[in-house]
Amino acid sequence: MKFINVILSIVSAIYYVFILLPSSLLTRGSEGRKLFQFEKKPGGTYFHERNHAYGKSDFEQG
Amino acid sequence: MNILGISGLYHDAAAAITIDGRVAAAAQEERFTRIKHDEKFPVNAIRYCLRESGLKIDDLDAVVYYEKPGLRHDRYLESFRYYAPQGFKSFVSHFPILTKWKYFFKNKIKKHLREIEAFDDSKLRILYTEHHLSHAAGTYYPSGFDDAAILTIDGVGEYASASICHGQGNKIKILKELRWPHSLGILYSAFTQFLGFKINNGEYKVMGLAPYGIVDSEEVNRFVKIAKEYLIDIAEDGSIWLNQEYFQYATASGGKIKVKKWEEIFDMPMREQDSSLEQVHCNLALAIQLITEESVLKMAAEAKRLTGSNNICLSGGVALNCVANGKLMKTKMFDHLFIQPASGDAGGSVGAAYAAHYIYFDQKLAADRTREHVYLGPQFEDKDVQAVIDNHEFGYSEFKDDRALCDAVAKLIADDNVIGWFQGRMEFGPRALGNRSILGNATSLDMQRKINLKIKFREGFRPFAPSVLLEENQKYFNIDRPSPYMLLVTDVHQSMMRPLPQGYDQMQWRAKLDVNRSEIQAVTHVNFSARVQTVTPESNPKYYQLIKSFRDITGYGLLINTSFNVRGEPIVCTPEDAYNCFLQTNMDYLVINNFLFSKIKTSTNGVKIADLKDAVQIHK
Repeated sequence: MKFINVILSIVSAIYYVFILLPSSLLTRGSEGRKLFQFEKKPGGTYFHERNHAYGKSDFEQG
Repeated sequence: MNILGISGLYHDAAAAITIDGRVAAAAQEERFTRIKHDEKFPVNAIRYCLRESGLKIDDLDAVVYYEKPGLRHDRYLESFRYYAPQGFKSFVSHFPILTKWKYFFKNKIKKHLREIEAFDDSKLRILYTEHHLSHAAGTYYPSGFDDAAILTIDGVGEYASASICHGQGNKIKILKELRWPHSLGILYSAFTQFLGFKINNGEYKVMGLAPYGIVDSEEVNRFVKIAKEYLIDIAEDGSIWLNQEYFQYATASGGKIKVKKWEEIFDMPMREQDSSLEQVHCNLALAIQLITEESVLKMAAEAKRLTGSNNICLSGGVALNCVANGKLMKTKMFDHLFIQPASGDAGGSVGAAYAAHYIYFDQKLAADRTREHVYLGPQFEDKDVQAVIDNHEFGYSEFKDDRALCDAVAKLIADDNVIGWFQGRMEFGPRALGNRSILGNATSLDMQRKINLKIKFREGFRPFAPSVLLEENQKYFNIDRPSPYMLLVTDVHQSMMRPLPQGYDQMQWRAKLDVNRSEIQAVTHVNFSARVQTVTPESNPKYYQLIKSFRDITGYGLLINTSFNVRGEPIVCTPEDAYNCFLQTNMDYLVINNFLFSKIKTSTNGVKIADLKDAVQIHK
């Protein structure tokens, strides 16, 4: 089990360097990233609309 | 319909079983492992829930985990992508685990369930709820309402850190949510860290410290202003935005804040753990409390606007902020208010089970689904107390009936003794509500100090809560409704207050602590607030009788009630836990079922208690 964890850590490190880091640099201005930037919205809201009635299908996907 | 709900793996693991929409058993893993806030998969709690409900794993219609590991994984990935190249070390240590959970979580659940008993793998149905749906379901379904606004606020689940939902009939609709990394719960934890307390543990302490802050003082106002200028923006609907320049929780584990930056803006050093508490710390605690209340009240108003309901249900860790709850109650924005007693993540287990029962299986609302009590944990028979009796070196007594026991114990409390009170089923949730409680005389001037320092070994500033007979509630407190779960803070009634020295409001916190300010001093906080538990014969007959016996002796129908544990340990679960805690502290007496244990060495039989007519004296 420990061996698997070591392998996964190495894979994670490779993933970080070769995929996550470049994609981070390429998507600096994207919409999803704005969650992390501090921009006060006077009179606005920071809530996200969901308007979703939960049903059976909401339970099946982990 | 039998459903097992499970929460855990981050903190406060727990399990709960519902049978036909009613909770048959629920318990937190920490109570069995004796590791506070234990996050490990709750094998012991599940084992207990199955045993208590008389079910096998094969009898379960579903096993429901309280959140979605895949979505949490995706959220982590988003955070690290944003912050790269920061957070490399944290990514490499956390990401493998989260990835395994994303793709192999069902295997993990099955593996742990196999530790409990064998079962038919092909029959086991494993489901997941969103984290905030677990909280929403956990408070709406047992509330008894058919229509209610639901407000859930905590640190974070998958993406959401707060949600506004509408419960109607057996359905829940989510209307809005606040998303990571913006979180009121995390903000409170960040201040908890800066004030030198442990995250996910010290938030209660910050709440207890805040009343020592000087209201409307220049320093408190300055702290609020700084926080709003640099750290947080609160919108009119209560939603918030946190300035990530001052926080590091998105990628780093261990701490929430960038300490140097906080020290710069607040112009004070971060408090070291266990170092001296000064007035400035109280003022900062008051500042974050005020900010939290502002956000909660505004979110509640938004929930009212969106749903038009006269009822509100609260849950999530922030719903344990009883002061904010009390303020919401006072606004009369809603006619009825229900707060899930296990509002933290442990309660997610109950909520997950409810959600599956009512939404996934589309069951009709149970006619009598209101939860009159929180006593869902294990209980122990007299034969289970035998090991304690065998080890006990001093005298003890056994009482024939509850009334005689309550009369004798009430007399001991009236004489300023501190009692460990262990009865019936253990409470589910962070509050001891009269079954795993330490009890004392609320009118005693020195009782707060005695219990804090000599029995619970905790900070002297921490307040104690009263358990009061429901019918006498308004004699002592300004509250117009029952508060059965100790989740509402209200003011002590004017008639209980004593004249105050001049300049009391501006006094430093230590000086305030020593002022004789109330007839019920030990449960009156320095700002004349109290976190009330109302007790009825229906909710807890034996505990009710004890308080009534105390009233018959003293004229006061209330007691100090604090959880039966010492600092850093979970609340006791078994008679052995209770006995060990009794021996390790300066508690005077321990009551388990109808056995009364003392620390008095007697040459004769049993314990020397006056008028102990109904006790069966037993030799040691």
